[in-house]
Amino acid sequence: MQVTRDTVKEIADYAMLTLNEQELEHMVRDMQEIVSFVEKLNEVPTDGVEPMIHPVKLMIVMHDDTVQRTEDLDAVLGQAPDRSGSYFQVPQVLGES
Amino acid sequence: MGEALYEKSLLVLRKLLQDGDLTVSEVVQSYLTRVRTVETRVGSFIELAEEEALLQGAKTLDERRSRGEGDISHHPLYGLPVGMKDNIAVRGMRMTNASRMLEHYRSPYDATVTTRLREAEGIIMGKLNMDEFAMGSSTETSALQTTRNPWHTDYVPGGSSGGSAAAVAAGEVAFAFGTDSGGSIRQPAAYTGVVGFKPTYGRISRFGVAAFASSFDTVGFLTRDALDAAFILDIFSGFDEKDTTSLPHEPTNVYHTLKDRDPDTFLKGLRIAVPHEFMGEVISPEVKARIEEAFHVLEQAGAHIEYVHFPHMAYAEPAYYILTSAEASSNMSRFDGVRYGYRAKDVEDIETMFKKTRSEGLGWEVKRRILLGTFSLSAGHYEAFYQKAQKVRTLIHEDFARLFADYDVVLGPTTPTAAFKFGERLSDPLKMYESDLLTVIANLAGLPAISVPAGFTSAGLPVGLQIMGPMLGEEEVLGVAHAYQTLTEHHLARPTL
Amino acid sequence: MSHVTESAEKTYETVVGLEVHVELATKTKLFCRCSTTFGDEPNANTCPICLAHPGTLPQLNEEAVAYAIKAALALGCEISERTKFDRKSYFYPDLPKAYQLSQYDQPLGQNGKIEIEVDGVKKTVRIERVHLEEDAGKLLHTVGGTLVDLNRGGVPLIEIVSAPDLRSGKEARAYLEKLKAILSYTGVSDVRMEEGSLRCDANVSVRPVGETRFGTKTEIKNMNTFSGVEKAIEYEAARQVEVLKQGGWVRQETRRFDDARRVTIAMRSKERAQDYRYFPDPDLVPFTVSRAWVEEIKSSIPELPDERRARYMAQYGLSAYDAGVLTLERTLADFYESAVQAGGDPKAIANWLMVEVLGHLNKENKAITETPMRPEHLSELVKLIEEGVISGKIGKSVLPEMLESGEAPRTIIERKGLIQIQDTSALEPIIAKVIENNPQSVADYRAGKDRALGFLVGQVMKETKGKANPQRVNELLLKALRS
Ligand SMILES: [Mg+2]
Ligand SMILES: [Zn+2]
Repeated sequence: MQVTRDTVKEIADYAMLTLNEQELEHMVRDMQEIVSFVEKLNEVPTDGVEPMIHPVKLMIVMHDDTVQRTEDLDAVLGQAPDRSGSYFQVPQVLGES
Repeated sequence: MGEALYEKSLLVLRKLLQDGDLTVSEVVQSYLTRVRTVETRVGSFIELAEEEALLQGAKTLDERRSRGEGDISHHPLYGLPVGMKDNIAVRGMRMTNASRMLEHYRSPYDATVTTRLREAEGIIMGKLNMDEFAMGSSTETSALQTTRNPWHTDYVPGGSSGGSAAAVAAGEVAFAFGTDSGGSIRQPAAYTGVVGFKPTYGRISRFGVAAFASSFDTVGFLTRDALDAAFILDIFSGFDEKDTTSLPHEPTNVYHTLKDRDPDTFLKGLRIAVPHEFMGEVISPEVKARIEEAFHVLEQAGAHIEYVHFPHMAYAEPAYYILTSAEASSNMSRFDGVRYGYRAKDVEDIETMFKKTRSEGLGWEVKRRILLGTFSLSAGHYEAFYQKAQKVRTLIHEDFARLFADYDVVLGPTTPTAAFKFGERLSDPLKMYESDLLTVIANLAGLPAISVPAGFTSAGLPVGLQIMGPMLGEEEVLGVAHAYQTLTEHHLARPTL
Repeated sequence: MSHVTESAEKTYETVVGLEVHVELATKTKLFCRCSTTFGDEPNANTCPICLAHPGTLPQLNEEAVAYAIKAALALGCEISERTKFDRKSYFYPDLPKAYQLSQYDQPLGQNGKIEIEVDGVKKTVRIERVHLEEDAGKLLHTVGGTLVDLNRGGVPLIEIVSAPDLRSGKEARAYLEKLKAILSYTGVSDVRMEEGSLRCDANVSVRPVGETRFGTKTEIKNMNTFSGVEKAIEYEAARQVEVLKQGGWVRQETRRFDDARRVTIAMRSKERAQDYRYFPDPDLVPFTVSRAWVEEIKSSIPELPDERRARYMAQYGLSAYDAGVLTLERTLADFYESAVQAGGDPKAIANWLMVEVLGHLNKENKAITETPMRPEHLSELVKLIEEGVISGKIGKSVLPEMLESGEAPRTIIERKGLIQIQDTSALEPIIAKVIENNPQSVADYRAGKDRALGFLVGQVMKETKGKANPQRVNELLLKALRS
């Protein structure tokens, strides 16, 4: 399939990435190359084949409902680029303020 | 033997420490000196632990020992210098994943393997370079530094665990942790002439290991020889309640099975499969020659080698790239500049912040995979790309199941060629992906696999022999590797730096 | 019952489906062990896992799964034997991983139903699915920027999706009330809308009566009360009918309910389309829910509101309405039942509970669980009145004190000396005195004016400061007047 500039722009938007003109052009080329490569899979008949999520069959082990406090919460919260009190602070969310 | 301390295998060093012929301080001092001597040329460390703290830690262990406290037999890695790939959390140390995004991030918690390493009293020497978020095959996508191949510094060390491989090859650590999602331990091991071992998916906890592709990522080791790898596996394998994808099994007990085993008795009658597809035209003549020599060694010892077919081999790489990129695109979405890590300056609103932060913080290869992954998961492409690849994954799994019904192990080269030069493949994604051609299938099927040194090319670059085993077949894989190493000396060669 | 809007050309009916998110009452979050306590210091209940630090992995809370199964069973759902979590991707500062772990194509529960009753008409509402997912954090929008509190991020939710079976705001409200009753009975949630532990989105469309296809729907968010839901739906349906009558068409959009103005307003729609890119979470393995576990949970489900209501009618002779009110909340139903078991006329207890007790608590905006009054005390109060120890009026006067202090009614009336005078010898002199002091009224009574008797009774009550048993006074007064 053809990878278009619009496709790449739309996908980049979902992924919260911006590409300048030059990067966009480059990325369309790379993506086209990779997409053509992976389209090889279309040769494989897969009717009735189950999709595999995990390579091994695993049984989930669940945890019980007891509270565990974070040992050094300051070291965790202190990684934030910007804080206000104990809140994380971010630029305004458009259409919400 | 005139070996320097840093050249010795882990088990040899351990014996010397245990017998009291060496102190931890001497070991640490020796390794620090080695790092100081070679690091400017190798560049494997993103962060080296503070020298004073390391020496103080060593002194504490020595003093405790001289007082006769703390039975060291309960601490299997007592005093041994270990390197951690920089995608593994070590509390208080950097965990950059070789990305601008996390350049100044310090992990506030320990990965499960780190906890076990501390309990085993291994000495954490530092964090090792890698491809950015483990996406790459040469460690060139690291946003922070260049790591060079100790055998020839014009060549890449491979990747993504390039820092780990180079550090072991250069004698900067006794062994190193790596992660392998498509060959990221085995391929750099092959390029740098060390052993790279990837256990069965889920064998070792992933908790605290930054996810690249969750259903592929496997924690493993880079060591001097296969017996070291077996010894370490027994320490770090086993179920972890913090990782629901970890196998609900007890730790392995491979080392004791292997250590006194006679290689010839073990190899006699062993059924080995070599897929034609592993030895085709894409394999360079020199690599092929070394691997055939290895086959010969094994056959001499009584193993049966048969050439077989691996029907879906040609589809392994496309399936691998779709699936790992899909998972990666989602795993990378947490890097948004809100709670930790890099945040772009001068942004007025949240959406601009997300976009600018991610665009400035992430490198090209990472972006490319995020976009491919987002594409394969998006409406209209999910079935044709993501789900199709999942189905091909099932078929590859079945190919292996058929092979392992008749054979004990599958053998071939680890990589089609030996290491390449810097910049040679970076601009061509498909050319770069080719170096993982023979390794991705083990990750698609979740199987254990190892790369062991099998000699050199005429340019003096190492070649790796790959051994793959069935699900949970660590003992077979390590057993063949160990037997091969008892019969050969390739793993004893050391680079001159 | 259909809500039908008349118009000159066509008659329209409203079609509503509800998506309800309910926070489960677990102590810890769905995928980590942080506390779910409400109202703590911002981000106090967070850890590397729920803050999505690199390397962290989700662990599944067994209690949350058990609660979700219990809720789904109580809502009549079939439980999927094999299920999994999927990632729903979108970027927002309240969603640390930039994906929500939810269940996409294999929800825990499917094909349930509940019964509602509006204006005496019963109706079955189908429940399409009940699935488990994690809550997002909370944002505070200030002039300087947005503040992020992730205490709520990762708290377990169940999402309950109804079929488009509701036909009016009133039905939607009845559905929500029933849902709330069932969930509070099973104990899986506190179901407090004001604390955000129950949140509701409504999908609303209209279509001409007789049409089988659905019209274009809008989604209404931000409804904070059950009456708000009712009003928002009524408003939105009327708005859509108006749009259609004007020859326009309904736009598929998300709207917000403005509680103060009682209108729905279109939310600023994002220019780009959403694509959630659902896919199975590779960090959390698919899991099976064993039949044995389902059976164990099933056996722990208590009597549900409908069954209890029927039993109260049969066993205690309550009217359908009274039984309905008393069984809407489990705590109230339990209180009633304990009071009845302690003795006293079940109907009288029901009356006291519904009129006096609830009246008082509603004024104070309190729940039955927030008063120290014990069910035995209500039973005792009713018995004291039945036995004539106090009058109903005195009963009403001591009730507020019982509700506030938790003291037994007998203790209060004894301390205050409120026990009724029933003793003839004590009442006779007072009656004689009243007759003597009110000759005109006595004369009036004897002249056939019955009203005068009431006045005289009142005078006796006044003399006794209300402590006389009015019935007894009546008897004795009649006797005295006749002699
Ligand atoms: Mg939801
Ligand atoms: Zn948490």
